[in-house]
Amino acid sequence: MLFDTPIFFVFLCLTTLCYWSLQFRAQNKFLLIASYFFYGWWDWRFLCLMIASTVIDYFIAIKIADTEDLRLKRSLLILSLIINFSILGFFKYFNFFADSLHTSLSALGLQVSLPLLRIILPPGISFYTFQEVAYIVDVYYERVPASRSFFDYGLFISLFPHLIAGPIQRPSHLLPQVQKPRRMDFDKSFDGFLLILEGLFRKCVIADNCALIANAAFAGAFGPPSLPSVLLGTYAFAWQIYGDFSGYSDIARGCAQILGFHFMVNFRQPYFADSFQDFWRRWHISLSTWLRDYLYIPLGGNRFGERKTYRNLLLTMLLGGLWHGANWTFVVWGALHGSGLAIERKLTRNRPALLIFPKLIKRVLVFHVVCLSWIFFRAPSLRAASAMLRGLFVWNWRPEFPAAFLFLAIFSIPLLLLDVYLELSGDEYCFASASVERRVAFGLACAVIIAFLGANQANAFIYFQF
Amino acid sequence: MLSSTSNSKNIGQRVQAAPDVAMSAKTGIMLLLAGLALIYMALEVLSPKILARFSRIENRINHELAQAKQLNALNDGHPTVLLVGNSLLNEGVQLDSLRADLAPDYAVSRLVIEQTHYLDWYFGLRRLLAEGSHPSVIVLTLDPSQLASGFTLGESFARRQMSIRDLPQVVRDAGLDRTTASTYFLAHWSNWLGDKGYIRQCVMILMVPHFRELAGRIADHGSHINDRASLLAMAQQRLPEFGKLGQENGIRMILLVPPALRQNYSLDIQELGTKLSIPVWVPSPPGEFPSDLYRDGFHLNAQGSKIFTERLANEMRKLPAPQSAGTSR
Repeated sequence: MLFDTPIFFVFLCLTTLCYWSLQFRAQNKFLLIASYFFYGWWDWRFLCLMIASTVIDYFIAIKIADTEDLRLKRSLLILSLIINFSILGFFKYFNFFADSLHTSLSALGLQVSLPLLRIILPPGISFYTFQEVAYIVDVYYERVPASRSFFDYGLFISLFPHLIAGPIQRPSHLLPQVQKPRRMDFDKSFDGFLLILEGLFRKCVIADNCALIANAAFAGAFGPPSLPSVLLGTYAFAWQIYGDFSGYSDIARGCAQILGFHFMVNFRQPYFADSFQDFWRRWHISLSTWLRDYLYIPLGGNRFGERKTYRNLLLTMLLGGLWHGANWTFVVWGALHGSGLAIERKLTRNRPALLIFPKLIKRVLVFHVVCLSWIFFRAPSLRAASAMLRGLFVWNWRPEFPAAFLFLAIFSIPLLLLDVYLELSGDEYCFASASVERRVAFGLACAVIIAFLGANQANAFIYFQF
Repeated sequence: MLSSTSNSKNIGQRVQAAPDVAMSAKTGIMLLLAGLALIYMALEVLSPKILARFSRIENRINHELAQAKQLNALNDGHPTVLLVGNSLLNEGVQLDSLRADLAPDYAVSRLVIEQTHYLDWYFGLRRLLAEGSHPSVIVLTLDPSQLASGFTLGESFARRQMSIRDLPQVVRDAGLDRTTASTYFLAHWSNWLGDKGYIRQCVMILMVPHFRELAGRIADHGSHINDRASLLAMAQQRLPEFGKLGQENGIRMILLVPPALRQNYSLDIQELGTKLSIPVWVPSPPGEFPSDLYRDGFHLNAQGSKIFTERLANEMRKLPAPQSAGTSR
């Protein structure tokens, strides 16, 4: 079920009405069943996998919490990590590694036949695996108590608004909300409705329209890559992925608020970042903080000297890149960001003079380096990405380019202006601190714009594939 | 970290400070939901009117569709021919010349819906025939890739061409997931869902100069199949199904393949059609027409369509006289 389809709104209306008519304990059970239905709507077989994974971690966490034996605790933690990452690794990376190994061996002159399986990636597996890992690690370090109710834990993992594409919820943030009774709060619900509308605007109006240009440019519909077509494709994809994912996050947060939950903010005007570090404080915040807390810091963070800090940054971003998908393009994308973070750290530590560059210049620079990295993120292969990069040095003007640039401007400038407003006001969404009347007007205006300018057909959210 | 609750609290405080003036969030929700319901109802009622007012293409389609629904096997004693297809037909065949060429032997009608492929027309024709249309001959114009494609025109197809009882078969044949299937189901009943793509197109034409040229580049035409084995496998499956639809309704069904610059295996499909007793017309084999007869490498220009129309008229003249089954209505 996609958030921007009519059936989802039928589902959301029915679920919300039933949910608020129930008592607390029944609410959790009902919401768990509704979330499983939401997930199983794609494919019931994937639901079995998710339930199995949830059950395993539920019991392991209880065992970790109950045992005093430190070695057993540690063994159980490792067992859970192995199970979680094996499931993720098999479904997401088996063919990638088998194929890469085959290519490497072939390059060495060894012809080995390795099996390639027809594996379908279960939706949201990367997201719920990370959430399960966070839970097990937090229980191990006694940051959160193990949940004694399967319904509570199951709901924490599978609550439908965040299930498929995040935001990745921290156990310390969401689990207590699941475990405590929730009250209908009209202020929060109103925020929720407006977040949903703003999210739909970002997704259907901005992202889905920019996707038309990005897809055409990357598919070669504007001819072989040339400077105008690469710029079109790259800028369009930059706004597409931002609109798409921030839109998804807003809708998810809006749905959660209507149900009485609060999700963490996942995007905060990322294209206004004036450094790579700042970018990762603003982009996919739930993932970047997860990577920081469960990967970068356990690797040593910045505690063991400069060299190891750079190594840790690079390793974290490489794995972060690979998390996005089983393709070398994502590895290169992660490497670019890791290198960017390391170089930036080096430059700003040793030459603080760089800090005095005007903020606007730094913002423009960071935005363009990020855009450059999006080429690898979007291209289907390294070969295609390098063809796009080579296109930057080729000039070929086509008659449809003026219309394409105007089209892109029409659908990217509104999001840019929205971000300017949010950056200046500090609001979480447009008019969040305005009067109720103005917010109603904003919501209705969003609905009208979505009605007239929303792209023709529902497109899957980009992050569903991760 | 910012949170929406903090904003809500601010609003809550503001409401408490001036309870007589400020609107409560509960009223805001009610107003918002009522407003959304009103907007939706207005769109349901107004979308056909908006399209009729602004879209030349929509008016043409509605006009042609209405005519197609009225078609009988004979018109003033002459057999009727219904040409259906997408922009390849619209730009490849000069209807007035064809009509003049074939008059009075045949009465030719046309129904063009842009961006449509085989499934749109298979299910579209099923519905059209079920709703009373009954020409003597139906000529479906598609290139081989479109014949093999699993693409449909989304909500617009569901609204205009799909019959609701065909939905399970549409789901199977187009490989739809449950979400898309449910959208098709709802779109079948909703003017707004069916029309919104066209309305957006009208808005874009008003906002972006030369949008039509751009749309040709960025529109989703489905994946292009140009592998001989896949094309023939799909043709093997679809030509008999297409022929059977005609047999069941006493209508002669013909597949017309327009010219192409490059190899598209249309002659192989023609050969297959002969084996299966489904006429496949290829008036111009792939590569025969030079590129200067095309507008954009795909659609014919005026000169190309003139030649192609003459050839189509010649093919039609060779048609045997319609069987009495077609005249029984």
